[in-house]
Amino acid sequence: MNATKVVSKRAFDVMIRALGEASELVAPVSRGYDRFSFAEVEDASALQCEGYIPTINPPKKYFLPAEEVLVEFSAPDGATLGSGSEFRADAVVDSPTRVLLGVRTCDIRAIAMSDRAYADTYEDDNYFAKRERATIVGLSCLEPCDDHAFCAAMGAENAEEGYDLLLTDWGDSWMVSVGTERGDEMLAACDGVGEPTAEDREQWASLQSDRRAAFAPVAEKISVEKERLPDLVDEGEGSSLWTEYGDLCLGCGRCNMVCPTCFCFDVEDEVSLDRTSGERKRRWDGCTLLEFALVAGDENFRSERKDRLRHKLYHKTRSTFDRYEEIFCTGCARCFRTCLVDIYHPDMYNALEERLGGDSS
Amino acid sequence: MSTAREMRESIYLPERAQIVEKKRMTDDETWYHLRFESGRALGHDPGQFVEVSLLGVGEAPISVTSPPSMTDGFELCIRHVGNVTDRLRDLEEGDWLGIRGPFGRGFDIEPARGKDVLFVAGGLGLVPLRSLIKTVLENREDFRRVILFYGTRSPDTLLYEEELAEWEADPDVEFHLTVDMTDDTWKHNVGVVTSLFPRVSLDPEETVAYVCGPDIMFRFVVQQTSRLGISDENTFLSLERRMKCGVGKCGHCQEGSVYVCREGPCFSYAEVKAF
Repeated sequence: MNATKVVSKRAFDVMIRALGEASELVAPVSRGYDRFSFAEVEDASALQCEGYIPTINPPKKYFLPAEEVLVEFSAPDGATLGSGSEFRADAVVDSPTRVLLGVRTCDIRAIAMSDRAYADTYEDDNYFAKRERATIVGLSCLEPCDDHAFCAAMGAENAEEGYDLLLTDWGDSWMVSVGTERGDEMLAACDGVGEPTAEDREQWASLQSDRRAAFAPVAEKISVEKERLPDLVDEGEGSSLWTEYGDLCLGCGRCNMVCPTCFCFDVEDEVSLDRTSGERKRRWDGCTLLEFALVAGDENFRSERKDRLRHKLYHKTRSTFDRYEEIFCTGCARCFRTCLVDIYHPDMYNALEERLGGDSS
Repeated sequence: MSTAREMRESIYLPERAQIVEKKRMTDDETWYHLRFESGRALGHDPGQFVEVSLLGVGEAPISVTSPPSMTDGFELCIRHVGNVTDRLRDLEEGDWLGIRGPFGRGFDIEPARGKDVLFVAGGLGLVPLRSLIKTVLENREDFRRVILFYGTRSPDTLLYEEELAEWEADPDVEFHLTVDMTDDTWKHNVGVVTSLFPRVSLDPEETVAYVCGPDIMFRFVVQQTSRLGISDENTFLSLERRMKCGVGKCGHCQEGSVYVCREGPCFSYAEVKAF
């Protein structure tokens, strides 16, 4: 565990308010109907958000907005775009300074995954301009957020890194784990930061054991170890499961949009009505959508829903495991909560394992 | 208050390039000689591609067809099949477009040194292969036999006809041409590109094959190369996928675990099999 301190909620709030003068503060906010979303807030009180299940959209929207301008361009006087005339083009990189409050450990893990993908070979300026100016204040889950999350099966019910500060509710105080120098500085700006007492330590140990017990059943939601998933999806390539789930899947792409580790996008040019200026934008895209693998000339490399669904799971397991030694799934279950036909990844993995004979050796 | 909008370099910013020369190749394909405004050489490897931008219309991935030895600009041969490429048809010499790249991994030429080289091109597949063919011919002494199979739908869809004539006349190139359909005036083979294989005797242990064409052609060509005994490691392919960002982020070109734009588009057949 990282260096841990105790700080009163009141003092912490004062510090956060002060940060808010030069940064945008965002935190989960209730939208009713048991739904939450990250939105701008005034102070740290949103950290008290009761019963907060993973937000509709994950915090990736702050680093990879649903829509983002990459390039601004224009044609000189008298000329129009797309005609081969001279043009001016400038890269556009928005880089707001933000403090993300109350990020659950599943999302902390997801951010670390996106970081790796967006740094791989070519560093994505638009992503990192925002990422590097973001402060992450995490919030530990003391118990599973609902019946659907399978975070513990993916090892995402805890986070050892990827945050500046990680808070655990401690009555009138926060128990604070410090993850970075930036986190240290934030704590240094708080009044009355204390070391945990012997009693605190005892309570902390008992809290951790309660947490382990609470998350143990969640880890059982997938019948195999997560390290087995890449091989499972590989071995199950020809399984009838994909056809069955492909028939069920609507190919609507909702699961991609809300996934904290989905980072694919489409790029499109938008021009003014007189075609003299415009913007090149990227927008979230999803591999379960029909047009995703379509190329000019109308060939589609994954025209069937079953192929797209399999590709999604393959990418989240085999591909990312081979590349980053990580399964790009945090078990947050946003995909399930948003799915119109209740496709639940653990069900697919379990069925696949069963059909392959259950031999996980 | 908290938002800063910066103008700066970015992997997504196209660089301005001008059309120096343009030539119609077929009804559907046009050849362009481009030069960066900055005058810099493209600095590509055979088999790499660029993203061609018409700002306001979009971007399309296009293979570079000139060899790296060409430093006064570079050449593209573009088939007009989409929004961007359709518009490019109307552009003239002196017109401007945007270029990002070169991107991806080109053909691995090293395994072919000191060996026989077999090129198999189908249709537009000649475009990326031409960069490699010319590079091999410029360094002819580094290779043994150079065998070139080229197949298209019909005689009027042949690309680079002048160069085809040169290669045909070159005693150092074993050149074989075929079309799927033709009339009586055609002097070459008729049939798909695989029908050329019986025309040459190959030394499979000592042959390295470079194959480029539509996906369906790959399947039949690698059947032939495998049957002949050319190893999967010595058979190289260039894949076409929807390469949109060119830098392994947007996800459209993924095939199995690889991003075709970044790890490819050129792969050995052994690598493709493992996808």
